[in-house]
Amino acid sequence: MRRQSYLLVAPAALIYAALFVAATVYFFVMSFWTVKLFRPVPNFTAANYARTAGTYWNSALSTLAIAFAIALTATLLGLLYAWLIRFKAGRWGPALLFIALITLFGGYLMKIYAWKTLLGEDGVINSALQGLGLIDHPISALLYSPFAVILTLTHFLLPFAILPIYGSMRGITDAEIDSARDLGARPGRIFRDVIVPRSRVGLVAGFALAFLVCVGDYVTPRLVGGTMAMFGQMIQLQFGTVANWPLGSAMSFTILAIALVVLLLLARALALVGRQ
Amino acid sequence: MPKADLFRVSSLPAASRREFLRLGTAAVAGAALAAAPLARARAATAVNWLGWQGYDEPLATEDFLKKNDIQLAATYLGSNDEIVTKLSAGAPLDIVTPYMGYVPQLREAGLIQPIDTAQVPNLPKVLPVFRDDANLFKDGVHWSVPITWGGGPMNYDPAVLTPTSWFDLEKPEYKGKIAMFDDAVGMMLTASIMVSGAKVASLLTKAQLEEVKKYLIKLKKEHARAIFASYGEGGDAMARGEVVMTLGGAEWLTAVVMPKKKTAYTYPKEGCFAFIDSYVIPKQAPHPQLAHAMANHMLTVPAQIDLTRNNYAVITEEAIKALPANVATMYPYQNIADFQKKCTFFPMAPLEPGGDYAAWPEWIAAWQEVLAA
Repeated sequence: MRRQSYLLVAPAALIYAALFVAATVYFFVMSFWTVKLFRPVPNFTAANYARTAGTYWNSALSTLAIAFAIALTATLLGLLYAWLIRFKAGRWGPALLFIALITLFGGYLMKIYAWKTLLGEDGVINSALQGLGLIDHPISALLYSPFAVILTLTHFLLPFAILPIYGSMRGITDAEIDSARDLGARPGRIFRDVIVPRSRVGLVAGFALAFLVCVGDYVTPRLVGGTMAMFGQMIQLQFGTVANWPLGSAMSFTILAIALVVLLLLARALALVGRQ
Repeated sequence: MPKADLFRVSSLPAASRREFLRLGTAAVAGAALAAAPLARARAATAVNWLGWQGYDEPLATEDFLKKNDIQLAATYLGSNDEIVTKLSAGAPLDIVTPYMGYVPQLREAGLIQPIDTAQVPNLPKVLPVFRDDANLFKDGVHWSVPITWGGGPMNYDPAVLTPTSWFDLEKPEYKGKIAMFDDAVGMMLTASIMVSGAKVASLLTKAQLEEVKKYLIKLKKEHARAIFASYGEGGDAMARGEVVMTLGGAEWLTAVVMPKKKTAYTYPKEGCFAFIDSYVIPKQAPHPQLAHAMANHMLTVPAQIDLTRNNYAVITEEAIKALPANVATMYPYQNIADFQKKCTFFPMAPLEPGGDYAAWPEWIAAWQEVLAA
């Protein structure tokens, strides 16, 4: 039986090993190489990491801050939405879940351009506000700003946060909620002491998905971020424009390592909340 | 579901030996017929082409590829540096299409071969300003076949202003209405023309590069609406009234934006950078004769006109005369002399650090600092 299980997993494991593990190891090794006339030269130097820390720390920090804000917003909204589906919507729950899922069918770029249409100076929101007489001039800060990046990415990532959280909440039985209520817990206390700790795995998964996508994203800030740039753009320049793959690899592993530390700290914090 | 139905789904129809032979013969004959064109395709010469998307499409005009039995294997570029990387690695390429600033460095590195002008009879038809540019033509030898060109003008909204200088970008009334682009070469060269004081805007000392970087950061922080991902994105923003003028730009943008809004372009008095893109034949090209024929075909009128489908400029006198009305004013064809006076074809910055001038990777590092600031 065990052997059969291994055989069933083998094709997926092989693909994963070839396309992800091998590529990751290759780029990690390359991050210690140097470059000569746009070609990676095998070597062993930490210079690329030193340069990343020395030159790009500012960009890395601002990217992490924005990614954290987006992931937190998406996770909190996802928690609320999943709670509505699981505990409040009753027979409308599947419909709400379907609505969340169907937004995944819209392409990533389509969502970005949709927000451009909504947020521009001649966009739907500014036109409506002007039509209602609430503003005299269009609000230019809606588009080409960090706000636009946060809004667009939160919209894109919300379903990715909702699904794992909802998955965790499905494991919470009505008996658990009833028991807490019978013991005198008010709704807020039930949410804090039962629902959130029991959704911990989903919360960490949802946050991690949103956070990691944001940290690596470089398309959204280029299209709606105005003059802001995220770390992904710096990495893309190394791979695409100047062909310095070793430095690009070092930058990628640096941001990945920081992101993993953030996720581990978050998982630890949520575990502590669960114990309390 | 009845068991018989399950069986019927998974069973094959019974066939007699004769039927089996008949079907087998038909299948073999069918396969042979289907394979015939494939066999012909295999006989064609595979030519490896590495260049910017759209520069390969005119090769299909007048059945050129078919008539010459060429099977084109086109790979599109993400950056010019890929050409240097692949040629240094000895990739068997027949044609590459670098920005003209790279040609002298490819020539000096011994990575490309001179053009045999006898095999490119259309080359004299190229306008001399492009054909004889110093980057491409040295000591009486042509090192590339130019196919298209363009400049880095300022695009603007004529209903709002008529700029004459790049420094109009700093006027306080246009704060937050300026477009910059995520184009390291275009932005850095234009800013270099403005503030570096260098004789050749692409050859900067580290101190001059620092000046350029600081100026771009100031412009970005104090005046720019956005650093747009592409010129098209910037044009779209101009059509929507989000921006009124650009640092760098493209001639074709005016025509593309026209259905939505009337815009214009100008070459400011401080000057602009300009580019020529060309077909270049690597030293190790496996099929140099076909590569020359392809370069020659790119200068025929139908091939040149085909380039305009992607908003590229034509480069020969006879192609200019044959331009359809809708693209005839996309570039300043009627005043090339003025273009020549105001726009410069700069050589590329050194590719490797260590010399007197800041190297290309240092330019990119500076541009990254601008983006991150």
